[in-house]
Amino acid sequence: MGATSSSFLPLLTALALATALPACAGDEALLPVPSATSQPTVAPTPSVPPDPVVPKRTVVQRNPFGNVAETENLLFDGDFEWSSPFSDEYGWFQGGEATVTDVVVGAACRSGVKCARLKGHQGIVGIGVAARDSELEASVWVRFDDPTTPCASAKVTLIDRSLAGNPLTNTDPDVHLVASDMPDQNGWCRISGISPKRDNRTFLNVLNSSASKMLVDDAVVKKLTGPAGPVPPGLPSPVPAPISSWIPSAEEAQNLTETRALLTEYARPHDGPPTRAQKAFEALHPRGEP
Amino acid sequence: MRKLNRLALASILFGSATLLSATFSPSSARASTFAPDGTFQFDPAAVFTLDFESQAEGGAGGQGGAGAGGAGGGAEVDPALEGSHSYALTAFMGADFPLTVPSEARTYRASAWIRDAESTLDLEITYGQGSVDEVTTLYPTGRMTSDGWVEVANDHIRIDGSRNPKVSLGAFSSTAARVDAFELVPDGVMELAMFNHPCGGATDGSSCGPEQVCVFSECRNVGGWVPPIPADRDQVTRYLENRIRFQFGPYLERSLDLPSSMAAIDQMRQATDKWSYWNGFTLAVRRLHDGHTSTSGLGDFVLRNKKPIAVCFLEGDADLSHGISPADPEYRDVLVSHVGGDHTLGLHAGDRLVAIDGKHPIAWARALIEFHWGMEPTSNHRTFAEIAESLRGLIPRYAKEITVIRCDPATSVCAAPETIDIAALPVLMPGEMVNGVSCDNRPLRHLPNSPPAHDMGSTVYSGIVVESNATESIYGLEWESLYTTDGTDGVGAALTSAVATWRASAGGVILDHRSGNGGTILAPMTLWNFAVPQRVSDAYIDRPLAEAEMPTVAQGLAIFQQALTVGLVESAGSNNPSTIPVALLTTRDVSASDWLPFGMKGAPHVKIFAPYETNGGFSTRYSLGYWLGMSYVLAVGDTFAPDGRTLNGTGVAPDIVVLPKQSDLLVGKDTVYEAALAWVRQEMP
Repeated sequence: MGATSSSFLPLLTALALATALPACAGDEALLPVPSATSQPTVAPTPSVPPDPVVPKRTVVQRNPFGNVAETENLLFDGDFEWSSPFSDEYGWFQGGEATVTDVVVGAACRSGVKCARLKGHQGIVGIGVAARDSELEASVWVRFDDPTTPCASAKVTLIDRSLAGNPLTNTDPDVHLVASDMPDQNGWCRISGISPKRDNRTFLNVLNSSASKMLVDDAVVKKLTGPAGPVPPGLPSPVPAPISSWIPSAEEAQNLTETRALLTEYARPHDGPPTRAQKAFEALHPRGEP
Repeated sequence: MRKLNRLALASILFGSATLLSATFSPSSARASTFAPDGTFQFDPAAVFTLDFESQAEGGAGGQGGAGAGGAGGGAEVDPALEGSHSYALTAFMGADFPLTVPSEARTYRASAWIRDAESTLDLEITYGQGSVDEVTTLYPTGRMTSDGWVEVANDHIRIDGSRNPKVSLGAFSSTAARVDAFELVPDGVMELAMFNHPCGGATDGSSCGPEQVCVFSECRNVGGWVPPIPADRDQVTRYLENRIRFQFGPYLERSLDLPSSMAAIDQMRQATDKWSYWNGFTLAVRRLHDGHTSTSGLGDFVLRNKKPIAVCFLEGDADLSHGISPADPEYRDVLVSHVGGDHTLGLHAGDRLVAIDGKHPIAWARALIEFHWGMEPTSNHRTFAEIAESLRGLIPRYAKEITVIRCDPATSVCAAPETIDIAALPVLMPGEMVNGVSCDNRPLRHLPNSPPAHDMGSTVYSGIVVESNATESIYGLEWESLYTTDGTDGVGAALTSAVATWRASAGGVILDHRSGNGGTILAPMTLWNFAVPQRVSDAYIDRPLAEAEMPTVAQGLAIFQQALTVGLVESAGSNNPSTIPVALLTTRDVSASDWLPFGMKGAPHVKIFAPYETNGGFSTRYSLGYWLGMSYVLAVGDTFAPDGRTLNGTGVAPDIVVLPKQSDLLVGKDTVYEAALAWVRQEMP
C-alpha cells in the first residue's frame, strides 16, 4: 500500500498546488494561515504577511452556499451548490444526461464549494427562466486545465429550447456571449453578454471546444436593471452581442442540436427510478417498514 | 486506533465546563487550525479524533472501518490532511466508524475533511438496543485547502453520554473520495430542554424544546439535520425565496399556495435557531401543495421506523359503523384495507381508524406538514389518498394513541371505539423481523401471480383475472410504474406484450393502477394506443418567465392553439383502438399516472373507477440537494388542455365514483374492483 513513502506526497502535492493555484477566484483569497471558524462566513480573512517558509497548503474561506449575493439569479442553481448525485433531473444537463455528471468540490472552484468539470468537447446547459420585458445580463466563469487554452474556447450561448417555434411567443434568438481576452490571475475566464428581452424559458449552453478539461462555475442570468457597470481590465464589455453576426462553428451547431434534443426529451414527465447513488445509500440504510 | 484526548477530556470534565456553559455562543465553538507552515492541527479540546493513521481505523490505504467500505484501499500513497494517511471511501460503498464520547450530557461540534468528491458524513447516535435515534449531517463550512480538502461540520450536536450511547461516524460517496481528520469538540452543555424527554405525540406542544420534534414518543433532536444559520442569512433567504418564486411552475398552486409558502419564508427571517430557519425553507416548499414538489432529508434514510405496524389504510365508506361514530363532515372515513402477518395491532380488513390523538386521521396527518419532511404531496386540494396510504408510517412516528372500531366479519357487527396506546408499543429490536405488507390501495389482488404481500416494485403483473376464465377472457393488469425511456426498457416491454395478448384474445380488460408512481408518457401511450381513438391531448409548457402567473382561459386557449401549429401538442390514442371494455382503476397517483387516466378519459369503451379525482400532478420536476442533508424537488411547468385550462392542480375525475365499503372489506370484497368487473361484463359483447 506504499504507506512508508506516503508522507512525502502530500507536501509535494501541496507545494505544487500552492504554486499552480495561488488563490481562488474573486475576492476570496487563499491564505497561508487559516482562520479557525465554526460558522460559515462570507468575508475573507485578512491577508497575512508572506511567510518565509512556503506552506505545504493554504486555506480559504468561502460561502458554502455559493454566490448567493446574486439573489435574482434566474438559473435554478448557477453555482452548482445544490447539485446532488441523488438527483435524476437537476438544473444543469451535462453530456447527454439530465443532471450534472462531474462535480468538483474544493478550492479549485471559483465560488462556493462545488463546480462542474467538462471534458474536452463536452457541453453543459444551465436551466432558468427569462424576465418579463427586460434585457438579461448573463455571465459564467470557466477555467481550463491547460492554461494555454484561449478563453474563447468556451462557447457560451443563451438559447431557447426549440428552433421550431414556441407556443407562448416566437422563439427567442440564440445569443452568443463573449469571452474575456485573457484569464484573470487565477486562470478563470469570464464569458458574458447581454441578451435582448426574452420571452421563453432560457438555457445557458456552455461548450468546451478545446481538448483541455474545463471547470464551470458561478453562472448568473439576471435582469439587466441599469447601465452595465464598470468592467475590470481584460474582461469583455457586456454590450449586447451582435446576434446577426454570430455564425456557430460546425461543432457549436452540432452541440446546439444535441442540447435541444435532450431538452425536448425531458420536457415531459420523467419520474425515473432512484439513481445509482440513492440505491446504494438505501442499501446501506434500508428504510425498513415505512 | 481511536484517540481520546484525555488531557482535553479532563479539562472539560473538571475545568472549563462551567465556563463553556456560561459563555457559549456560536462564535465560541472550537475547531481545528493550521500551523503557519500549513500543518493541520486538531483542536486541543477535542475529546475524540480519527486520523486514519492505522489500518484499524481505515488508514494506510483505506483498510478497515466497520462498514462496507473497508476494503476500498487502492491508493499507493495516501493524500492526507493530518499525518500520512486518510480513509479511502470507495464509490457507492459506505463506512462506519464507532466513536467514544464522555459519559456526560453535552453538545459537540463534529468536523471532518473530505477530498475528491462530495461525500455524505453523518453522526448517528443510538440509545439502547433499537435502531438509530438521532442523526446529524456534516455540512461544508466553506473552509477549504489548496490541496483539495473541504471541511464538513455541524455544531451543537446533543449527545447524552450518561445514557451510554452508541455513536458512529457514517460516510458515503457516489465517487471515490477521501476522508481525514475527524474530531469531536465540546461546544456547550445540554440544557434541560435538550434532553430526550417523553412526549405525547406530535400534537403534544409542551414537552419538547427548541430544535426538537416528538418522534416515537420521545423528544428527538433535529437540529443536526440542518446546517447552521448562514452568516449572510438575508441573502441566503432571499436567494432561496427566489428559487421558489422564479422556478415553481404550476399556475393554480401559485395562485392558491404561494402566499402560504412565502409566509414560511418569512419565518426563516425571524428564526432564532437553525432548525426553525431551515425547516422554514422546507416548509415553504411543502406548502406549494404540488404532487411533484416535496422535501426530504438524511433522516429519511437513516432513521428507521422503530415501531412498524403492518396495517394498510385507505379512505372509504364506514357503512357499518356510522351509528357508532358518525362520518366527519370534511373528511372521508379511514378503513383498514389489508394487513400483514404480524405487528397488526390486532386489526384486520374492514376495521375503522376513527381518530389519531383525538382528531380525524386525515386532519391529524395534514398538520404534520409543519415538520414532516417526507410528507406525501398532492396537487389538488380535495383528496387525501397519499396521506391515507402513508398513515401506517406516520402513526408510529407521531401518534400517542389511535382510536379504532373493530368489526366482526362473521356477524358484521362493530364494537365500541377502542383506544390503542401507540406510545406503549415495543420498539423493534435488532434482528426482529416484521411479516409486513405493502400498501397499494388494493384490498385484494386479482391475478394468480400477484405477490401476496402486495410488494410490486416495478413489475407488471398481467393475465386472466381470478374471477374470470379462458372462455370469458377478462384480463387484468396490476402495476405501479410507468417508467420507460424507449418503450422497451422499464415497463415498456411488459405493457407492449400485455396489449398484444389483449388484442388477440381479451374480452375485456381491468387496468388496476390504484397506486401509480408515474414515469414517462411513453408507457401511457402504449395503453392509449390500445384503448383510445386518436385525438389531441395536451401541451406541457415549462415555466417561461420569472413573473408568469395564471393565464386566462382565453390566453390558455391561444397557447394551446399555437402549440398545435408548431407541433408541440401531444396526442393520445391510435386509429385502430380496441372496442372491448376497458376499466381503469385509480386511487393514488402522480405525473404520468395522472396522464394515463387523462388520455383514457372519454374514450368510448373506457370507464375510470375511483373514489375521487387523481392527484393532478401534470408537470415534471427538478430535484436539488444540499449534501444529502436537505433536498427539495420543484415542479417546473404546467400543462394546457385543448380548451385552454391549465391542468396541474386538478385531477382526472372518475366516470364511476366508488368508495371502498367497510361492509365489503370485512367480508373480503374489493368494492372498486367489483364495480369495474361488473361493468366490464355488462359491456362485453
